[in-house]
Amino acid sequence: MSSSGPVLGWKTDSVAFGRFVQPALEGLPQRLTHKGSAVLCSPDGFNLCSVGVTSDQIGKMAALASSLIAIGEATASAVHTDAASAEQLDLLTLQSGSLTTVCIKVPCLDSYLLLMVSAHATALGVVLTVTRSVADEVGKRLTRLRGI
Amino acid sequence: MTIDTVQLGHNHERRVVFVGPFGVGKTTALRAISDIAVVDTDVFTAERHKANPEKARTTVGFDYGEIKLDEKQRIALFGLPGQYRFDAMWQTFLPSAVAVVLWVYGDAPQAERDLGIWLEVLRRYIAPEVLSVAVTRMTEPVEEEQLEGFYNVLAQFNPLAPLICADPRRPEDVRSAVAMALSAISVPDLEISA
Repeated sequence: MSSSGPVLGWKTDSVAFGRFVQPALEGLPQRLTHKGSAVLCSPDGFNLCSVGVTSDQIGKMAALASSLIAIGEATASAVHTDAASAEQLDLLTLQSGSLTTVCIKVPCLDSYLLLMVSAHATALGVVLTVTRSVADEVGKRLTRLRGI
Repeated sequence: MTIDTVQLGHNHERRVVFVGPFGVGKTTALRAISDIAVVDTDVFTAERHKANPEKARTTVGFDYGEIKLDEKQRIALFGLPGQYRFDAMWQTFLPSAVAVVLWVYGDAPQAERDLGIWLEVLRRYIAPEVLSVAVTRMTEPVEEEQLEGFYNVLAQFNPLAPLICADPRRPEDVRSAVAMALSAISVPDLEISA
């Protein structure tokens, strides 16, 4: 897994950081027609801002998002036999009955954040589109931090 | 729960990670003290450890639990797979741990040598000062000289690293191991009753 050094001091003030990106996630429920959730966390699994999850879930959800990407990257690099063709992992999708989950990286200055979105009875394409859109909005907010 | 429940920031300030060989009791220990339902990534395995031949399940992702100190303060507990092929999990969670408890078999034929091998591996992932050791399967009462070999090996990693004998099935033992690990890194404001 690539280096994912600390970004923006989220470990010392993850609440303030979460509040800063909250507007980007708040619109998510309206964009998914059925029950859904989203977790935005650091690469090492610290929650920053989540919607649709309980306080008892956020620790494990953030850790799971982090490990999914880590496992995905390890799998991708193991499958890529040609080191030159190895790419960073961009996207993971999971299907469990009617539940669809998408996990992607959100570029954040010199590192990245993780966004995991889950929705029931929603087409993969819809979840993907919404996830990428929310990630873009998070990214736009983060670019404002450049130079601070 | 409503769909628009917003949770800001992470709810635990400290992470304690359990590591150690396959079958030593990391998952059992975590389940013994977690205040929330533990994330379960155990699967059936044909692998067997000679010290624990009945064990038929193994962790392939990680175990996750929490100790609630009060309404706001929690300690996150991670149990990582004992086999090196799952090192992607080690790389993900060991660097962010404030304390690491290495669980080792006390009754293995070459227990001290096994401890040394684990310490060499862990050296690549963690600073020596965050490590403590919990030795399992010692016949009680345990005499200090029975642990001398472990202390000697551990001294090469960190002479100040704490070591405890603990049964992962006993919540009071596991809490003691966690409290020991956190006290070793000077976290004075935590009270975990053993």
